Amino acid sequence: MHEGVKDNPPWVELDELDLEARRYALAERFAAGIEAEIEWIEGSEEELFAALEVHELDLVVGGITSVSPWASVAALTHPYLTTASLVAVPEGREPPDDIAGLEVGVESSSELEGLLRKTDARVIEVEDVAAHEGAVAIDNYLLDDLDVVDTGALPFGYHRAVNVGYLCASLALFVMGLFILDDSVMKFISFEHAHAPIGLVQPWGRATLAGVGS
Amino acid sequence: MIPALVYSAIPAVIIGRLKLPLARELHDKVLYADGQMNKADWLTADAAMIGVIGIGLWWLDAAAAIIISLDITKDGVTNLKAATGDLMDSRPTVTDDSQLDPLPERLRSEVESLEWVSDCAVRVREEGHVFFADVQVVPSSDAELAVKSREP
Repeated sequence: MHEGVKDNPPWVELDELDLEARRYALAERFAAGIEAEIEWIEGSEEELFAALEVHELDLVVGGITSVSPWASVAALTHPYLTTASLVAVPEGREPPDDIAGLEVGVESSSELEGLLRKTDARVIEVEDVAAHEGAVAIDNYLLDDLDVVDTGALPFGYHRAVNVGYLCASLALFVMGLFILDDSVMKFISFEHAHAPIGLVQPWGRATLAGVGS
Repeated sequence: MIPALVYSAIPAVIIGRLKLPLARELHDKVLYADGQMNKADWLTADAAMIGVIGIGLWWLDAAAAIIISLDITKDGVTNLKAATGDLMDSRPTVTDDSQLDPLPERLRSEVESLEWVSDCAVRVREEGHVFFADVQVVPSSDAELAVKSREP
C-alpha cells in the first residue's frame, strides 16, 4: 500500500517524534487490519491528491479540511476536529459584548486577517499573536497555548443541532399519530357511513406534510 | 382510486427503506425518525385502500386507521423519549434506540488495560453524530506521573 503524507503543522508534524503520532498509528492499524504494508511517500497536497486520483497512492494522511477541493476526487474520513475562528481576550479581562471598534490583533496576511477585515473590528496586523497584548483573532484550538478565553457563544460547536432536530422530528411523528387517532376515532363513533370512502380519505391527504407526497 | 393510492405509497416505501440502513451507518437519529415517518406515510395510504375496498363495511376504514394511528403514536413516543434522553445526556444508544451503544464499555476496558491505570471511570454523552467522553483514571503509582501519563 502506498500512502502519502502531507506536512501541515499542527495537524500532522513530520519530525521524528511525531511520525509515531496517533494519525500514523491509525493508518498503521488500518493497514494491519487489511493485511497491507505501508510505504510512506511525502509530498504536497497537490502532488499527493493528483497521485491518489490516478491510483498511484492508496491513502493520503494529513491536516485536510472538510471543505478541501480534493473532496470531489477522494473520499474523506469523518472530521475528527472541528475548529472555529474567534476573537479572544487575555485571561482575566472581561470579554466585550461586541467586537465593533475593538482593536484585534491578527497574524498578518493570513486568511483570518481577511475575514476580520469584513467585520467592524479594528484590525492590527501582528507577526506573532501569542506576543500581542490585547484581543486577538485565532483558531480555537490555540486557546490554551495563548492563555486567552473564548468569547464565542457556542464553545462546544453545533453537534447538538442534530439532537434538536431529532426532538422536533419525533414530536412531529407523535403529534401526527395523535391527530390521526383522534380523527379516526371520531369517524368510527360518528357513523358517517353514507360517504365513508372519500370522506375518510381526506385526513390522509394531509399526511403529505409529513414527508413524501401521498 | 386504488391505483392512485398504490402509486403514492410506492415512493414512501422505497425511500423509507433506503433511509434506515444509512441512518444506522451515520448514527443519524433524525434520518432514522424520518424513515419511520415514511413508514407512517405508506401505512396511511394502505388504510385508505382498505377503506376503499371495504365500501360495504363502513367501519373498516376507521378501524384500520385506529390501529395504524396507534402504531404511529407508539413510534412517536419511543422517539420522543429517546430525543429528550439524548438532550439530558443519557447513556448513548444505538441508532434505533433498541439497546445501549457498546462504545462506552469498550472505551472503559481499553483504558483499564493500560499498564499505568489501576482504575477508571468513563461516561459518554451523545451529541448528534458524535460521542464525547469523560475519562477519569487512578494511576497505579504516583512515581513519574507526568512522564507516564504522556505515554499512549
